[in-house]
Amino acid sequence: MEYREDKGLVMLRLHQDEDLFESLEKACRECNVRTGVFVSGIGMLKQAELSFYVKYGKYATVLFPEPLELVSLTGTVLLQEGEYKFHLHAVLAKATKEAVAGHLSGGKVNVTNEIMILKSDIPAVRTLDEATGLMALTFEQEKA
Amino acid sequence: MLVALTVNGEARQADVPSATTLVELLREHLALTGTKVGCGHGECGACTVLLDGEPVNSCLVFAAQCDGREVTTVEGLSRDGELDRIQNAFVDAGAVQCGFCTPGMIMSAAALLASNPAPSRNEIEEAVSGNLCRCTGYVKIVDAVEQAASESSREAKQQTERS
Repeated sequence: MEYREDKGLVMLRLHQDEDLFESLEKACRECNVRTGVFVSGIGMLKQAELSFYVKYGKYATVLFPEPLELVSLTGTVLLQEGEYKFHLHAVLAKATKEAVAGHLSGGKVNVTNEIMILKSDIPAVRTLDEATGLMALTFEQEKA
Repeated sequence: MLVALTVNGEARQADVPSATTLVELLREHLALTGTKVGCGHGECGACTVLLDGEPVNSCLVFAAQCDGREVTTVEGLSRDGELDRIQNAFVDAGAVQCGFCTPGMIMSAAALLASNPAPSRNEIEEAVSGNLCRCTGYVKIVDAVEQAASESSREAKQQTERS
């Protein structure tokens, strides 16, 4: 993994066989990301896991064990109690030129990924949404 | 991955590759070939089945999403070898030519009549608007669903009168 940071924008380059989430977490930690927005993410994945909401608190996770073009990666990352919470969605293209898309829950880099994260100090966390069982974006109260 | 679900009222399970679609699970692993694959992209509706009672394009649903859920296919409509009222209405109305779209049409109609037993012609047309037919021109299909609905109403009325 390589990165550069300028004016709150973190530009990442990930390399072959890196675990996507491990590398993202490492970059966020080293760049002191409090809240981050994924402005852009392209490249290729060796394999990926997408998760689909089924019902209250339950996701079905589907592994795509094949090379996939990372057409688009968007979402957010929040630092919460020392841990990074990612909420990323991806559009992935298969060799057949079909696209699959969903909540990205795992991925391994193939050749390269180029990912841009915009840093922010907006105080946000994820808390359980009782209605859906999902960990929803919640704004922390400003400290007086 | 092991997927356990209820298909046509029967508990079924299958060990399938993770990215298996529902229609692949039904046709290739559970040998339920009544559900057809037309476009494979959710445009033609030939693969329509009911998932927890709602019509879905089974080519667009992953098997993993159906774990613990209930699926009804066209095979699940008949009882003791007898066609159900919608299937009979399709036969009576001549709403079938090549027959490839028919299972999907019938499942969309079944979903409609379950929630709206007396639909208008417009509501029938809306309900099957996601099911493409290249043979019939749709008129007889809508006729068939209308006929099935009126038979249901008549049966319901007779039952009320008897009780």
